[in-house]
Amino acid sequence: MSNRFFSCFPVSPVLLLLVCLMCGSGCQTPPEELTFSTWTPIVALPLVDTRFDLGDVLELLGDSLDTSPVQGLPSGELAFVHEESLSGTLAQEWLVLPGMDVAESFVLDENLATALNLTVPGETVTYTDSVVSALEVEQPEGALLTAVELSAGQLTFSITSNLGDDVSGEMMIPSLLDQTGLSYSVSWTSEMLEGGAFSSVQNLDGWQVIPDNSGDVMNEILGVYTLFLQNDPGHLAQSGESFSVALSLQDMVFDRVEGDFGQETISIEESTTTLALFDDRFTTSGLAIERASIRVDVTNGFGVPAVLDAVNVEMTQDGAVQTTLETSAAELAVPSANESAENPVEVSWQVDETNSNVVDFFSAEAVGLNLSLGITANPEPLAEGEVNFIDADGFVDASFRAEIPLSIRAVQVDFVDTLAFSLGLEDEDEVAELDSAELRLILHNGFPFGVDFQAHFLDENGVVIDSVLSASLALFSMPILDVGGFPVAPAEFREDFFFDWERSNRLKLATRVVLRAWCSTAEASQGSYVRLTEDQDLRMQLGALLYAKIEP
Amino acid sequence: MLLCLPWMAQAQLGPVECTPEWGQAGWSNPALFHPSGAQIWLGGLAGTQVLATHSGPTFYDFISTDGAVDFDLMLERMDSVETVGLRNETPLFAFSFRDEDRFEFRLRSRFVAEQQFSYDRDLFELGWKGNGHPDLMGRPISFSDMGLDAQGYFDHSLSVGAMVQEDRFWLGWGIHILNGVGSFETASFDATLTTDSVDYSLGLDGGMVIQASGVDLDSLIDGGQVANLDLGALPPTLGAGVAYDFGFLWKVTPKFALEGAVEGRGSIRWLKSITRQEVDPAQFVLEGLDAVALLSSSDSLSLPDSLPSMLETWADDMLDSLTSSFSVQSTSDEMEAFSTPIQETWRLGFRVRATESLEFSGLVYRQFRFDRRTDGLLVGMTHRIRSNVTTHIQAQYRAQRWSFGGGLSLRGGPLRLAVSAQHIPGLIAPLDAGHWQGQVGLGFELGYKRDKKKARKKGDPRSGKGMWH
Repeated sequence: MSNRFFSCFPVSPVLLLLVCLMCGSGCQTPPEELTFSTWTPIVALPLVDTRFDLGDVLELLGDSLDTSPVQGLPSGELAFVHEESLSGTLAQEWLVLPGMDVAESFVLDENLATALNLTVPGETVTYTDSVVSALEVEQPEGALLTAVELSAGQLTFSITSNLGDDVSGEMMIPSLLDQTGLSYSVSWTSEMLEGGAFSSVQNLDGWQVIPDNSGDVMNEILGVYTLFLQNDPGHLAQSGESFSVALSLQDMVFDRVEGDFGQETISIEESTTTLALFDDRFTTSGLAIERASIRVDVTNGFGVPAVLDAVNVEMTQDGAVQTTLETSAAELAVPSANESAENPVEVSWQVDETNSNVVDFFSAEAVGLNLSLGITANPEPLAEGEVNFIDADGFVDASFRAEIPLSIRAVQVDFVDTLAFSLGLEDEDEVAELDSAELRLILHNGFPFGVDFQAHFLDENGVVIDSVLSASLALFSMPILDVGGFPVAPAEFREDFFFDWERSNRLKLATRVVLRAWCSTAEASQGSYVRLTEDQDLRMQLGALLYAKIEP
Repeated sequence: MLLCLPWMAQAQLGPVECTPEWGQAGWSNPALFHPSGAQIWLGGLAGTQVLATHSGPTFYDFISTDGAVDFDLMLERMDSVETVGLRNETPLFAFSFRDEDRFEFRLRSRFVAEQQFSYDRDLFELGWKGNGHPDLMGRPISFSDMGLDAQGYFDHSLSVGAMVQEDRFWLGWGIHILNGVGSFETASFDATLTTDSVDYSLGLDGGMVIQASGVDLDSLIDGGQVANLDLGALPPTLGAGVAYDFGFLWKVTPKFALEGAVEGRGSIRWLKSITRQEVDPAQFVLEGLDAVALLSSSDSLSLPDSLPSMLETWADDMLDSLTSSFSVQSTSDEMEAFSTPIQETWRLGFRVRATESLEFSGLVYRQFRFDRRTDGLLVGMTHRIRSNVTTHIQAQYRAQRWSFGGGLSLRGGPLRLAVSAQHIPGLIAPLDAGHWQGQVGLGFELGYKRDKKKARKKGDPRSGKGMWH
């Protein structure tokens, strides 16, 4: 029957089987609606990867905390450095040329008047005398001047006469030389004295004064004058007639002075500074430094050997002197400048922890630092042929540098501060696809100290509503030190901070945040000092895991 | 003339490629003769075959019947690398003739355009789970097998089949003369994204070489013209190549035969109008914002005002660094010719003739398209009723799933009508009509005349002699 069926209707049973198979497996009706599961990708993002060395940190702290600046030393070590340039003494202020006023009178006595009256007209009677005075130097006191080159000054020579006879004459000052080396001289005739007075003013720019110190008088200036008298037949000379000579040296400014300036103090300006390593937000204990130094650089532009014999450094607190610098360091000999002020000599004086109590000046509190320096000229009498000199542009000044290498020990440095806080988040609708997030903070601490940190968020009533963690975080994990006090390798801190909308809503209520940090240097309790260098750094990495939740 | 429009969602052998009654696709083994004496196919009347392929999971692999989409299941069902491809064959001209059982000659020309885009499962996994997911964090996510390959070429082939041993052993061989029109090839693509599990830094390692013929990559990179299209003119021949076919049929016993074939083993060497772009192997690591460096380079410390500009600067720097790390370089001037393979299929199977009209077949195959390989197992049953009706049913196992297909071929006089259908589980999207592909073809055949008396005496089946000799 079936064969006949297939022969009449040529369809293979294979084909029927095929149709059944394909209908059974292929005719699948797709669902009318598709439902998608929630898409919850987790996105990992590196947010921050930065590295800053200790110099950056301390510079930032110095800016924000108003602490002393930190500098890197050539050795790479970091140090608190306090520097001051002390204005010293200028030549014109240290050696002040005095003025000089001197006058002498010639008075006819009875005999001289008679003799003059008896003189044949046309015959000249000569009279010579001198005017003696001295440059009395008060600053430096007792300075002996052997040569003074002037850049300014004025010599006033004046004579007055009431002699009835003809009087002419000349005046010479051997110790006052002009630019060509000729002594000062001035002459007058009887005609010039017709009015009874004569004066002459000489500008002394470029002149030179060679005071005479051969006698008992220091810095003596001698003027020799000669009068030529001729009898006037029409006049009967009377005793009491007089002739006066006056010399005045004023407004002298020197280019250079040579001499023996004696033992005189050259003072350096005093200064007062307030230093603060930590402000009042810090609490410290067990703070100590291992090394410190003070260096004074003296620049001597005077042709005067000197000695730095007064370095007064005082640390004061609340007006009371706490510490005074004591040192066993030798006084500093300051040689004179070489030939002129253009070749000053610079010498340094340094004390450190080995020869002074300088480390006692380190204090965590704000302290005052008083500083004054003094040098004494010619600590030894000048040798034969040796002279001091001072040029107009000569000077003596000094710079002061206190250096505290950050080789320190701190058992405890605590920091507490309260800052205003406001969580400025976008509207929740805009970030609704962010379900939660996890911030990962990684710190590779290459500093030889550790810092624990905690932050408490307070609402407007001062109630703690959140904190970074229930326990404080060892933010800067303490590294292990080598024998030199340097970290062997950075210590790693890693912490994940979880944030979700519940926490976000909580933090939105916060108005203040209290930051607390506890710091200590490594192995401080064992008495170890740590050394801070510029290349010690901290690498901070901040990454985020963002848990997105996207509803279809 | 044969009109073929099969839509296949996966690279597999359909009914039309297993038996010659369904047209030129059945020429895949040149040792198998067509039952007709001669055939002539002319140009577009022969139809165009379009093969869309997708190697990923099917819709129902990860969507339940109630419509719940499970992307995790989709990822689980995906291979490490999946492909989306399109292959188009446009017959131009073909004819064949046969000398009884001794010899068959075939000549055909066609234009083939094919492309394949390979994508990595990790790409989907990355998108679905995110780079911060524990499954992906710290693990290199490689996109090294991704790439796009495409080419178009004319295939002029000549093949012959010949009986080597009387009524026992047949050999077939063929040669394809390939004229390339255009090619785009991802010669190498290496990209690995790694999210550090500790600091979440993103590391991207990679390099790339792409080359093309007939596509101006240099101009394309610069946003210029892709190629000089001279419409209306004959397509230029930019590449040339040769491919070979080989097949055998060994009738071990009257009821059992072995067959095997290699089809399309060869390549096209692209010689003209070639350009090449390279990205040297490099590494880029995104480590986050270097705040200290930005602050130190900032003119001002007024952070609130300058922070956006700092971030913008940082982003620009990152982009510059990224583009400089993976800068695209043209090496077109130093470029030598390059070769691309064409589709190649190896198959080995058997045929068992259970009765005069019923045969069972089975074969394994391996198919290469560009740099991808597809393996499959196919079992089928063919039923020939008299000399003019042939039915076929097959089950195919590939990529851990079965598919079914079958066809009907009817000949009346010089006309042959062939239909086939195949259930395709590989479609990524559901269709209201279910997952089917179909083919209807109409051919003109010059039937091979047989001596009916002799045939009846020998009891030969009344079908064409192409199948069994």
